Amino acid sequence: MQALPVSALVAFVKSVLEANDALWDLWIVGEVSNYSRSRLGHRYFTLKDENAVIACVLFRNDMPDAELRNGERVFAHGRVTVFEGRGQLQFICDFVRPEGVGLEAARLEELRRRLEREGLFDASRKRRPPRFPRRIGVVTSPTGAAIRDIERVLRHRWPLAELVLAPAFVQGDRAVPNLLAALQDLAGVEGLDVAIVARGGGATEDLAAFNDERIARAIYAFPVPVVTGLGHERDQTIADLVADVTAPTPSAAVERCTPDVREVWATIARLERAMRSDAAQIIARDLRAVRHAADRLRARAPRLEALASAVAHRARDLREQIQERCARERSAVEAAAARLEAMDPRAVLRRGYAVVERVDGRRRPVTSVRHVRGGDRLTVSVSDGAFWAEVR
Amino acid sequence: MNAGETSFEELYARLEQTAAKLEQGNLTLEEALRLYEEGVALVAQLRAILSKAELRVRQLHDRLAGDETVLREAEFDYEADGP
Repeated sequence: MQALPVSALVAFVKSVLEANDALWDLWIVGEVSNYSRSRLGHRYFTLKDENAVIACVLFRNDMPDAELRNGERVFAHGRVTVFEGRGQLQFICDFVRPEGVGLEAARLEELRRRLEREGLFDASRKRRPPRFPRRIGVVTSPTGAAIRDIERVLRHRWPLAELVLAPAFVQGDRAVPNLLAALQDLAGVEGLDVAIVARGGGATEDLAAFNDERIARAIYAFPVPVVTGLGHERDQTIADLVADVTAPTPSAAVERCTPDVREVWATIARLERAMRSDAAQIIARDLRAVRHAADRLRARAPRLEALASAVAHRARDLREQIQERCARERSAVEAAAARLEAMDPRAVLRRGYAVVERVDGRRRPVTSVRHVRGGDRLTVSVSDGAFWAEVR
Repeated sequence: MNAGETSFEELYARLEQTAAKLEQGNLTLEEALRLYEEGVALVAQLRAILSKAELRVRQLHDRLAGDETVLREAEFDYEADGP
């Protein structure tokens, strides 16, 4: 026979306990004692009743703000394990509530917290139903007030739609499996735009099915947006929290996922008017532009005439100036010509003078008696010719 | 709205776009007139769809009666225990 090390034994017992599903997810009730909060924020305490006691821990991240009081009776949710360091049975809590609130309320709150932490209620994953849904699924009782209300409102409000009813009991023992089956049927409908899960008020506030985790997960996983209209007056159900849109009644649920056909008519008329006036404005704008251009042309025409007459006027001035200048030049030329004529040597000769030049050597005018000797031959030019002469 | 026909939603979206383009201005006269004609045609189509509309109601197979309901319930209990 071989001896087992203590650690092997404790580890074995721990694994046996943790393998048992019944010890994994359970509620216990008892009185708090030896409560303390560690430096790290974990809360250690024991829960006891008349006959037994179990060590418990509520770790820092679970309900971080919760404080317990010794002597208080509580419901605790969690699982059973072994704390190996002490060889001690331990209950690891993730949720604790005073017994006074009742187990059902505590269970609901634990589920709500858990799904919330998991992100099932996140605003970021809420889907918006399409503006003009064509096919609207409805999960509700086929004989209840809810389906009558939904059909009536839809007929008035958005008759373009097709209503697809997936019948289900909404209360009683069979409600949960019924609702799950109806949701699954509806999820298979082609072209579905939105689904309404509804329940018509009624005397009893039996909402248990809508606080069921399976229904919550089915709504979360539903392929198109889900609108709840559960006709209840108390706090929102888990189904409401997980739905994409929540309405207080079945009729309101229809209103939350359909347009009002009368408003659509009015909007179309408004758009038509707006288009007409916008088009008219563009036509008017172009007409104004044409008119403006015409005006500018007209405004420019007289200026052209003035310019033409100015040009003509200037031309006349120029012509006159030129003529005047010509006349002046001509008379100056004539005067000069007269003066030139007066200086013409031939005019002198005509008056009886003669030009005498020596013939020999260089031909040059004789202007002094010293220029000639006896026997020199000279040319004598007069007005109408020349002749020879000899000096004596 | 049968398959193949343009859906109300699509026609309506086109009307909105057309109206928005016209409102924006910045258009030649030809563009503006073309858009306006398009818009008027869309309005007529939308009105025709709205006037003809009548709610259709269809009920899926009733699981509340018969053996199948029980069978399905068993299936769901099984699935619900899963992950």
